[in-house]
Amino acid sequence: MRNNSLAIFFILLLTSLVFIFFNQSRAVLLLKQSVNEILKPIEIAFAKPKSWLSFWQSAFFNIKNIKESNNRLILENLNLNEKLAKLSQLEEENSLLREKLNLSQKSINTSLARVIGRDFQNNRSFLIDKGTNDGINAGMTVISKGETIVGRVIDASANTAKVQTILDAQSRIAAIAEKSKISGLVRGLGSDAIFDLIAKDKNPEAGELIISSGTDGIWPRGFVIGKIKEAKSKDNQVFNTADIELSADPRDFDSVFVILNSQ
Amino acid sequence: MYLALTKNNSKALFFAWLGGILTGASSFSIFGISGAVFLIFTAVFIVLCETVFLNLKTGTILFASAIGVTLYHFTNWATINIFAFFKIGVFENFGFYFANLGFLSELIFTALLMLAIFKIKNKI
Repeated sequence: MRNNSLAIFFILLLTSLVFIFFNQSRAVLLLKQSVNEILKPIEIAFAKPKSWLSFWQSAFFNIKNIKESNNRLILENLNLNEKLAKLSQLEEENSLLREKLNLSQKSINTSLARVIGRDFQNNRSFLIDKGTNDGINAGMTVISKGETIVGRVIDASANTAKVQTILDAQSRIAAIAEKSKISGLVRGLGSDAIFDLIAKDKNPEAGELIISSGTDGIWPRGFVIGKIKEAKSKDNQVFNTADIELSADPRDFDSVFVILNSQ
Repeated sequence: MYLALTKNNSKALFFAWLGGILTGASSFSIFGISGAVFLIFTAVFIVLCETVFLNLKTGTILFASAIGVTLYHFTNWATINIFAFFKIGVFENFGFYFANLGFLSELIFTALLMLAIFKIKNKI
């Protein structure tokens, strides 16, 4: 048996040596190619489990590195989130400053103010962080981005001012439909506003822009209020009305512009 | 290693050589070297089985697995470098065969596999 094993060993070793020393010969190359072809399907079948095993082997032995890398990435993520928040703030600030510049170029002198308090019950008023020390006085118009009327300063103290929004039931703005030139009055209803006192024979179109006409001598002319949603006409009423969609929802903004003078 | 430990020497030699030839067909080394490596490794392992690993207890199998894997890697390195000395192939670094996670995984995996095979065959 032992001699048998020895004989097998030497025969197989000799065969291997032949393959090695004649590895560039045609016969050996052909044999290698044939073996490769036979093994290819098995190789393909084993490729995925091999890759899976390799992944978990690496993961197991690199747990410490993975944990450190994870902690580092968490910290990096926190830092990036902080930078992102700052970037968003800067973007907002940039946008407001551009708006202010735009207004200045139209000879509309404004003061940028932040909303610091709201009347959450009915959104009829809010507080801003500028007051008489900053040149703010009662009666000044307050607008938001896009030259949209938001309200009017009704009370100003040294460093803050109270703004009455156009939703307030006491708010009235003489307005005109931009295309059809139909005039009327934008009146606050508390939670909404309507375009009232429209002549009986006139009907503004849905989607039409409503802008301040300036004919009341209180509100400046040419500022956007909203859009017509639906015109209404009732036989038992003297005037037509229209529901409007305000361009600036008093609940949505954090900063406003107070018009110090308009020409 | 199983065939060598269970004293089926002829079969161990043949299957080791065949396994080497088949793996050598798709590896980057010269065709035939893997066959020679497996053959030499198996021959040395058979000698060890007849002198050192005399019984088939769990401890012996684990020890034999560890020795087997280490011996295989060493034989691989030595054979390739001997042929490189005769200008067949290139010299390879010793660390390449041992200082990696593959070697560690092989040690663990081979030990577990050997225990499983022997258990299934009810030899232990």
